[in-house]
Amino acid sequence: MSEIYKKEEYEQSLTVSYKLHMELYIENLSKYYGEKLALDKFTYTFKEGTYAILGPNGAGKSTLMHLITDNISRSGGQIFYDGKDILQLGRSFRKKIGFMPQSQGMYDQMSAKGFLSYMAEIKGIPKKEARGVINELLSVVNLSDVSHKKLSSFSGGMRQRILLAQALLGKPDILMLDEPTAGLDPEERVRIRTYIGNLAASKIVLITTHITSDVESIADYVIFMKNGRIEAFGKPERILKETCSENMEEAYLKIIHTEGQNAGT
Amino acid sequence: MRELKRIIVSKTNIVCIAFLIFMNVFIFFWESTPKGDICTLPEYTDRYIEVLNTCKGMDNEEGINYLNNLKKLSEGTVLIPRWLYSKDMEYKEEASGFYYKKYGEQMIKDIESGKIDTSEQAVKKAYITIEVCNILIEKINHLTEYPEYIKTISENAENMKSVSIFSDPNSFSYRNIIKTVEDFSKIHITELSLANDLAVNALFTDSISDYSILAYIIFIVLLMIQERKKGLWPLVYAYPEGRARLAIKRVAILLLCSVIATVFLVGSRFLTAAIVYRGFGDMSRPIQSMSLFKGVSQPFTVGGFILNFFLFKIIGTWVISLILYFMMLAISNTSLAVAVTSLFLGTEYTLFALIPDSYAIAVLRFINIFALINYNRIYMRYLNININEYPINGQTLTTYMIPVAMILFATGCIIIHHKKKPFSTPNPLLKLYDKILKLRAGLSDRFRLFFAELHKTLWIQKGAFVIIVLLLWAIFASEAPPLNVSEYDGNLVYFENMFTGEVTEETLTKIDEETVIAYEEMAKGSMHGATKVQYLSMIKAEALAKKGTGLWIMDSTIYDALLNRNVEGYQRKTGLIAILFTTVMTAGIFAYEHQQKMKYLLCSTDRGRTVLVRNKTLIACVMTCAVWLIVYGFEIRNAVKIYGSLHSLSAPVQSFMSEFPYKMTVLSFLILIYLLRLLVLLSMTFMILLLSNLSNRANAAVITSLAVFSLPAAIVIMGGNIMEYFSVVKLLSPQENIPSLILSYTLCFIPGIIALIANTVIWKGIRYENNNSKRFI
Repeated sequence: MSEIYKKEEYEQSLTVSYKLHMELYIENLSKYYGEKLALDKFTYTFKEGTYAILGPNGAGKSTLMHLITDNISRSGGQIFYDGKDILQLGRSFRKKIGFMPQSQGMYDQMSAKGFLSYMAEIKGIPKKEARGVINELLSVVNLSDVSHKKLSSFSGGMRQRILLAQALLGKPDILMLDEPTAGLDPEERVRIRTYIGNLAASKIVLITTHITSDVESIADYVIFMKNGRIEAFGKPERILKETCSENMEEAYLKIIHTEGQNAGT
Repeated sequence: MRELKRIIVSKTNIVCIAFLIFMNVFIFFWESTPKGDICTLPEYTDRYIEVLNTCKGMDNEEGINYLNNLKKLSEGTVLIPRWLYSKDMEYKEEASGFYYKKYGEQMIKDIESGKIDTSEQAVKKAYITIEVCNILIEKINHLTEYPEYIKTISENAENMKSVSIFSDPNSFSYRNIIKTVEDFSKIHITELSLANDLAVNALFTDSISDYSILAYIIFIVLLMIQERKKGLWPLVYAYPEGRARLAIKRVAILLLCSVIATVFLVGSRFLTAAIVYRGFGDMSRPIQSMSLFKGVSQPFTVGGFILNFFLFKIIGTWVISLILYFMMLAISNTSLAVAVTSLFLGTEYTLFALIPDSYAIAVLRFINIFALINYNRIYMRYLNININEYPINGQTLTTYMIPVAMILFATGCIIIHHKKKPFSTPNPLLKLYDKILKLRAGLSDRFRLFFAELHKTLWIQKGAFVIIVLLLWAIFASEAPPLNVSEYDGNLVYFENMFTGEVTEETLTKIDEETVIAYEEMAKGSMHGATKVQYLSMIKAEALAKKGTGLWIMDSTIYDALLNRNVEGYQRKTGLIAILFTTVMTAGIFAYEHQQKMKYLLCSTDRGRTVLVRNKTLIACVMTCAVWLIVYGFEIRNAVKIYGSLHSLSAPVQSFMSEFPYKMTVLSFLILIYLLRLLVLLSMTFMILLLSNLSNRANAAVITSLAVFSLPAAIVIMGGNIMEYFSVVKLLSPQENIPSLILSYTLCFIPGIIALIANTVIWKGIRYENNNSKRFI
């Protein structure tokens, strides 16, 4: 693992504090797809803040997301939320997450409002509460004017905003955004980043991306992944300083393409 | 409930239900239209009820006598005028003995004097009356014989018990005998009565519309797993209400859909039958009052039986939906799930349809999804199956299967929904699928564009499935073209076959020789000889008329059948099948590109504008030819099976179509009429392609094309003859008087050619600016 972190920070990140609120602790999480190791003993503690997970394709970013949302079964390791295994918490854990997947899958024949109502029901939000929340979120993502229109008529950016809005339904403690700005034009990317930045207060926000400019704007912490393992992590300023890079892209290239620092692949 | 709204209140679901209701009603009319094209359904029903009401007040014997007399009067009304006014004096004299004996001098005098009406209307009414009388006689005989039948069961049981092979009380045979007697002893045979059975009989005869419920349920299940195809599964699964609770809601929604399917699809048939046949008669009479329900061993009234049927349908449909949903959930990959489910349904159907009753594995017919669809075959037949030397009624097996399957599959669905994760180990069958894809890719490289288009039509747009359905219809449901029975004379056919060939002196000599032999037989008192003399004289007259003209004496039965105008509505029905399948196969060809937003990308290339549109049109023509080949190929095959081979193909067509103006052989004429049909279909295809090119979605193109081309034809079959002018179905019937229809054919071909050209222009997107210069988009 990279030496960018300081030792005490690392030790701190490994500490499981059962008294702390809103803490997601992942211990030795692994996932095999057949013989291929997609995630290799991933260990980290997520607390309040925005965490950007950077890495090339196949680094294990989406796998990590799907393991946290229990969309895949683990090959090994555990995930704790506030000291309890998320599998034991079950529904009560899933009530606390907001998930924005990479694919823009939706029911195209539904209107934006209809889709959000549907997702609100899936999230267990009572009907009366959902109505107000949906209207609020539509205005947050600037889609109130087109809320009655079918999703099939939405552009890529608009679809991403709707997906972000559904992730925010129910005021989740943990927001997981898998490649939230992929395929968007620069204007839309900035808009999404701004929304995320505004909404990240008092939440654990995990963003997976391979767009480095996203990281610079909004991330409190950055985790570099490659071949299913953490290559480096830390605050953005620290990383730039330690890698002697001017921007995150340069740092990324240095960390990801440096040989000899990966153990046990 | 949002999920409920998504499934039930969706536009697609409403359109699907509406379409299936229409299909059910249409099929009802298709199947119920009286044969022989002699009358409409209302005319038939009116006459039936009139005669029935007359018989109701009589006892069985009185009723039979009344009906026999009425039938005789009607037959006389039809046959006597033909004999009376026949120009063949020899035949008239020969047959007079027969007619006087059968109908009596009084009737013949009454007809001669005009006392008995023999107008066209009266003859039509007579035909209907004969049909009605035959049915009512059969019904009254059933009412008379059924109590005896029940008594016979007990008597036979007693007799059989004394036979050694049946007398072992621990054997299946013995137990079967006892059980049969016990089961049928519950029926109230004294209460059997005659009533208007038409509606009930029509509804409980096997119909292809029974499968409309299966089609609807498959549609609903696919709608439910739409989240997988849309990539929403991980999202829904991640959330608290997206697992077991959603599964429970969906299981309940499937029950609601089963109720909807039964009420609307089955209910529409019941309502139509009730309206057309003026009700169901006395609902409190025992169901066994109708011979169709002879095998029902429970003491149901008609009303009770119908209620039981509806309940069974609702619950049975729910069970089917649970089984199908379970299968689709169990396999993550949607395409693989569809393939496995199709295989399962095919296997179930094969077991249901092909296992004979006497086989030990007959139990698999009753514990079968199709047992829940084909109520008639399960609940209207009495059959005990040998299970470990115990007789278990087939109905009982099916009935008990229902709650077991319900609990099993409902629980299974909930468990899988809760436990199965969106991302799991790939199914090993997918490796096999991968190999097939590699092989296909290797083949497709050779004929890239044409093959890609064929793949789109056959695979992506499910054209292969449509072809399979058409083939299944052709193999299992298509009929031979019927003959106009009143014009068919089997004796004449026999003699025509004797002298088949061009009429020469030799032919006349042979006829004379046979006539001499026949006279000798007649002189000895042989009726057969008299008949031979009669028919030989007819043949001789025909031969004399044809001598020196090159025309043949030939049995034209098969050609009369193939070229019949529209006996029993056959031509219209076959034409509609051809139109329907051609439409479904070709309507999506261009629309698919618009739907996939590929049009502009394709048209940005040169080949995309020229070669592609030619390939697509060629594919459409190939599909049309395939439909034409299957529909009319099987027509010829069925005709040959019933009427014999296509013989005398080199004979001049005027040998049996004297009015045809052009000189050609029978073979050439057959080729001409079938080619004309192909050209009509191709012309229609070009128009469909134009509609397809103007549509944004494949589904919209299919619906529009069906509305424009198939709906008018369907309305014609339901009795709306005026729609014939708006449909190509008339031109798909063989036309003897082709010259008079040249205008009609031209009016059909010209729009097709215009559509073909317009389609190419629209695809290329040529626009004219205000200054009249062409501009390509």
